Amino acid sequence: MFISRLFAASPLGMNARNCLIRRLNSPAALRLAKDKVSFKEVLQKNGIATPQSYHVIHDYTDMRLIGMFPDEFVVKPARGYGGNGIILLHKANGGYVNPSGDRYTTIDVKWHIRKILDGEFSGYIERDQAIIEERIYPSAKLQFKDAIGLLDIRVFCYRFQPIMGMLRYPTLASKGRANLSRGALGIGLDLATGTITYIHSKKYHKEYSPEEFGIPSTFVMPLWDEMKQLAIRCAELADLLLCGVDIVLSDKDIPMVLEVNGRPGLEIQNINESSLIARFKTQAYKPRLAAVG
Amino acid sequence: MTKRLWLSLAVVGAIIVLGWVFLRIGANWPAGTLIGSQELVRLITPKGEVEVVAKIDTGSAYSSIDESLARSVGLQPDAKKVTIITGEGRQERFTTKLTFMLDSRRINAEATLADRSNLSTPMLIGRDDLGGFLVDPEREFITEPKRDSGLFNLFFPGDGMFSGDQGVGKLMIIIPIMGSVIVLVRLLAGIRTYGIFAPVVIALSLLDLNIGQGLLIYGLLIVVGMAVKLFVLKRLELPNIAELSLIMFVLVLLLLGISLLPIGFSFSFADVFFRLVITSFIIEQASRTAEEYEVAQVIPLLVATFGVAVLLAFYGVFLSQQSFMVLWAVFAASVLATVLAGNYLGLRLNELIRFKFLRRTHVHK
Repeated sequence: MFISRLFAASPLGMNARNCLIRRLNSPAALRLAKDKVSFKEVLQKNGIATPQSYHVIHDYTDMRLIGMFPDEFVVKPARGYGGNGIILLHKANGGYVNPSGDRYTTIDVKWHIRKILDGEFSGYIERDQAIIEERIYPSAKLQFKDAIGLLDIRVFCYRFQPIMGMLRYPTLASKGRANLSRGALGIGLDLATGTITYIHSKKYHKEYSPEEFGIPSTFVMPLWDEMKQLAIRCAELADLLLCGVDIVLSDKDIPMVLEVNGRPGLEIQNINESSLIARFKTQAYKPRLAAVG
Repeated sequence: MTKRLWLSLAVVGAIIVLGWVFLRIGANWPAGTLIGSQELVRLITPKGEVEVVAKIDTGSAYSSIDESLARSVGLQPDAKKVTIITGEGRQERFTTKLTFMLDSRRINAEATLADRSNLSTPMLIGRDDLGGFLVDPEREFITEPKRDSGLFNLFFPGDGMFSGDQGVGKLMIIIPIMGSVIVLVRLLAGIRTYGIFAPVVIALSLLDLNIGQGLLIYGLLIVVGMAVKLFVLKRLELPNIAELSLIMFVLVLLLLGISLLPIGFSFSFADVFFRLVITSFIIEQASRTAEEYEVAQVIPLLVATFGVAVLLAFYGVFLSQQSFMVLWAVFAASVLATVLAGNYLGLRLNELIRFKFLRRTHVHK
């Protein structure tokens, strides 16, 4: 393609990314991936592990389901973006408590669900649905210093091939969110081996060494090959030729797919200190035949 | 690829050619309105509307009106005196604010008061108030004063740079030209603003006023509006839409409060309308950013929005002074630039900073 020839050494910019999305990702596929309720069904039908959803709340009348919620759950907008509107709760003396210890009454929870339904976290474009799903605890293999909340792995795929990966590391500064724009740390992962390339934080524009977080220098992403295979499967199911697949490693060391993002961010280039454009051409990673079988 | 290229060229060409055709016909430009050496005008006075005959005199700077006529229709002389050089030497004359309709234009003039009882007409229109007209001295009474109506005068009352037919034509061209600037700024420089075309509307409302004063009022409205939303209304735990509605109540009270201050701000319909719509919109957007991220992230976006708006206001002033040919050329260039910018796939200016690893010297793994 014209642009990749002209800017071979340069990073992928927003203009070029938007152009690629227009050309590669069909609107129908983007719509499906954005709707977490429908896409979760697709994933489950294909035997891909994803957090189990207990209830989907479509309208105010479904609020009565609130009595049937399990002891511990996550409330999530079906079409939210950037991690907005997600709360983690567990039951405690008649009410609910989130991981930071803030108390929620039943009315507070209803209030939050109502905001989700009104589209407050999905841009008010349309009415949204609230998903009540299983809370995933992080694997013991991914418990590092200062990490709070769930670390997630982003695999950037181009034409159904993983071309870049990173581990997003929620901290106090990011208020437990794994979003780089909120100040979460990004740990670049070497595509072939799963070792650490660079560690960056968008908020402080600073490079860290793994030792600062108690990560051994010999760290290799557990189940990295499986995760790359999972990313390929999800990109194919979503029919998105350019996408970012978000994977978490549960406490039972099972990789679970959180979502597939059809408009993936470009910050992954800063985290890995390399250009996506260069990877488009090489497609460095090829799945091993044995793993496909 | 080639199909898209031809289609782009066809769209750009069609907009440019149709722009020319419509402006030539519609805004009757650049001819201006033809008037004779005497014309009937309608004075809009405190005691109603009166039609009088006025002499068109491009040799005089100020317009002038007969003192006794002015008094009879309730026009008060201002404290200000101006010095007029006449055939008989220098004269000091009192002035009065005079509003009148000449053809379809509403003109706000500062007219001198003089005894014109022994002259042929009770009123004289000087060149300061004749912008946009062409005078044919051999003819008389070519036009008649039209009714002052239309939505546009509601938005831009008085003798702003966009009054009258010509002004409307110019404004119509200038709005999309300003809009294209936003596109260029976004796609080439990566500067984000609140709402894609909000800066255009802010720029238009700044044009109508003193830019500094306009910015001051906007700044005050947005800061107070945001503060009320984030620190007071948020505690009421209302749905967002109800909060926004309350914000409008607060903004109106603020505007009324400002107009009561003894600094002499008075608000026309246009001011209130534009300010309310824009500030509520911006507060809506900004408070969403503030909730999703941090208040600190709102500031660069607000600064960018108003920075671009001020830039556009100056651009608008410049454009409004241009001739039809120049404006049309800028119009055509803007259409072309927009399509070209939409095809630019390289890095935006801000991304040169964002992707800082480009400048790093160490060997990449």
